[in-house]
Amino acid sequence: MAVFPRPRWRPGEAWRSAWAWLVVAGYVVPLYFVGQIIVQGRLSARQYSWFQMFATAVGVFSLVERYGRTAPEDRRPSRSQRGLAMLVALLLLLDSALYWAYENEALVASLFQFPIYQLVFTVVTIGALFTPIIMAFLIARDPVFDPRRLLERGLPYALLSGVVAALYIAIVLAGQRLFAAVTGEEALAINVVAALVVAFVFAPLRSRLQRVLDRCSGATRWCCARRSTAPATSCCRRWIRDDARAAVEAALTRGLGRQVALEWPESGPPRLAAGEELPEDAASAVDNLLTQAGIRLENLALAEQRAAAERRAVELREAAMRAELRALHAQVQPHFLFNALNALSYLTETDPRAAQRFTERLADMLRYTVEAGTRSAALLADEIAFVEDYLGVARERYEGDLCFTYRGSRELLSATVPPLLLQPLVENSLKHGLAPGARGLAMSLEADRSDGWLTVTFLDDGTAGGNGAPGLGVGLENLEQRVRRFAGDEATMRAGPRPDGGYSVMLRWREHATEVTR
Amino acid sequence: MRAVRRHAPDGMTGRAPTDGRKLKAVIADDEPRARQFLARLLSEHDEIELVGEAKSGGETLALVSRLSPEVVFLDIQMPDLSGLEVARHLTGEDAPVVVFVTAFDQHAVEAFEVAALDYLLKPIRRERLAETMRRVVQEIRSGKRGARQEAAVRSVLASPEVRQGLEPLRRLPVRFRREVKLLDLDQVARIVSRDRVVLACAEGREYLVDYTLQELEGRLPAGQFVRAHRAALVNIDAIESYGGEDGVLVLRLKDGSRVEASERRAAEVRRRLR
Repeated sequence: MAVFPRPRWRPGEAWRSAWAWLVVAGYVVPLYFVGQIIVQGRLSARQYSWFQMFATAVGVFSLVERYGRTAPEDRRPSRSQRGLAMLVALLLLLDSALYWAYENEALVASLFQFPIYQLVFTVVTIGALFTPIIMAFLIARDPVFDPRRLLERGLPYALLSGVVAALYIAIVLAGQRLFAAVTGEEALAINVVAALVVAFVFAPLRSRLQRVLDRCSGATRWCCARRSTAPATSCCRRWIRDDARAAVEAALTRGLGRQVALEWPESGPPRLAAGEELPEDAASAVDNLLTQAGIRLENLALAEQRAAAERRAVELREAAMRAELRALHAQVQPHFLFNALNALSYLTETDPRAAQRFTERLADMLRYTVEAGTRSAALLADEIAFVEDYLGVARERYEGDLCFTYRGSRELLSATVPPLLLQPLVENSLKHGLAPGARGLAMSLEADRSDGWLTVTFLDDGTAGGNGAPGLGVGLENLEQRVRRFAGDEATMRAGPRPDGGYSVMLRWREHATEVTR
Repeated sequence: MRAVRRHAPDGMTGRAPTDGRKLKAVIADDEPRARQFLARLLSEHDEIELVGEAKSGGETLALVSRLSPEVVFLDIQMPDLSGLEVARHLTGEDAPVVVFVTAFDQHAVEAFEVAALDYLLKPIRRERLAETMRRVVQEIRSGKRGARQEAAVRSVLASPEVRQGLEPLRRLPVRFRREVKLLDLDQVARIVSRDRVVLACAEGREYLVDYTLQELEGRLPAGQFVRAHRAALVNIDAIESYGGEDGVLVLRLKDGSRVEASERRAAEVRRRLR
């Protein structure tokens, strides 16, 4: 019975696994048939065909299970192996189907009339003859049965057997001698003592030995390499690099029987430290090893660079997107525009004079906005004029009094500020501060210059009953970034509700810096 | 909130309008000019009668439950509650036909087209309004609305683009008796889902909420509520103390209730509370 290529169960839990029982059945049932032949002189054809059918089914299932799904990387079969395995499974199934049909003579006779059936029959029969060969090939090529792997895993046991046997004999002999010398008699108890000692040291010895072998054969290095294919953190990468170094150094020490000093340049292969002499016969081998290590390290570095480049690209893309968003938000919101047009549409019918004024203000406002997009700085006076236009438009849309006053000194009107500095502030106030049914909204701007710093404070007396909770909207966040671009990273923004109601936004930047950037 | 020309006698609030009677309409818009404009345009239609104007989402809901109009013209952008949210709460057989009015909501307009909902773009055009009025009248006379509109509004709100464009909920619409009430978020201590309904617990009362917890998680302002377990959102400001009891993170709220955080979310809850 084929449980292919290896039944899987956890150590210690074999008897809970269905596979284990199948394997037992696979060994016992043929014995039963042998017994049957000996005792009865013949085989029960019925029982045998049942067994065969069952065995085929299990075999096919285990084949599909082994080759049909993803396995861990170290045991993953190649595509051709998968194909072959599936072919075997198909052949086995077809063959047993034909075999089953073969017992029914009438059916076979009628089927054989069709040439296609004859062809299928021939192909499957010939194919079935090849299945043992394919299976042998699969088993030979299966990663599980990789001789290197078997050797690597089997070696500790082989070595340990020798060590343990020697230990046992040594203890028994020495113990017996000692005992005989002391008492003049032989003692079997020494055998027991030796067995106990061996039993106790077996597990720790085995794990140590395995570790030593793993280190020698490079199994850990191999694990690291595999881990590096996963999205590795820089820490893990460093570890692999160090691990590669350690492996090279260990290999040299092992091969030459002494410590060898190596130099590890930032790029390129490692070199022997100055003053290190190598024996004639080892030189080329060591050179080879160092070149290999160099390539390995180079690859690691390249992978690291590629990952970093990708990260940078993503960051740049995001930054570009943010910049684009900022640019969009710096303009007049389409909502504002279309709502204004709606109001205008109404005014043209009801009050043509007002409609005219409204259109003029809207036009001034839009003109300023469009121009501001191309400029890198604006005069505070122009900004204030823009706010007047903006509010002129907004007054037609909202109920209540909207007023704006400038409380700074006259000379600061000619200070340079980022273009459209005030627009998001006014918009924010109208959106959040103008509660439904409120009497109005008073906004004011204070400006102050001291020690080369310009401070601009925008205040309103709004109630937070409208759209709400005080907090930085997207518009205000963009404003901070725009001011930073205008005046450098020292620029700050502080926004929050005022203790006596309303909201304030304070912007501060160093003035001479703006002269430079302009 | 004020009722304009409210002369629908109480005895005549029966739904399906007889042919002679005018349809009652309500306008909701936060901009007075926009309300005036639409009122003026509607006055040119004989089949309709404006019974009320609302300045905000909350007012609209109150006005609708008081006046039970047949049509509501809903501006989408309103300060307290978006027109879309308002429409979501206009459910049932008695629900008015909703006509959305919008200045600029690209995604919402696309979604209205898909869901075959009526909408008007600002600036409003006479011809377009006339066309819409014909459709609305037809729909009301046919007597089949309610359910279809409810499903359509829900499908619009489910569209991710539309949802992205919505402002976070600053107030929570809840069912209160037969009306919809807007709760301040500070009042809401926790929102729980129980027996397939979502309940908001505020000031010792429980109110029915029309949103799922998952929706609310996305729609409430970031940082104010935390999902303590699968069936509870807790207002962070309402938490009095918290601590581990037998390895379970327990939140004790100011209203005296206790909420246990699920194992899966405990770490996140702790992070947010810190």
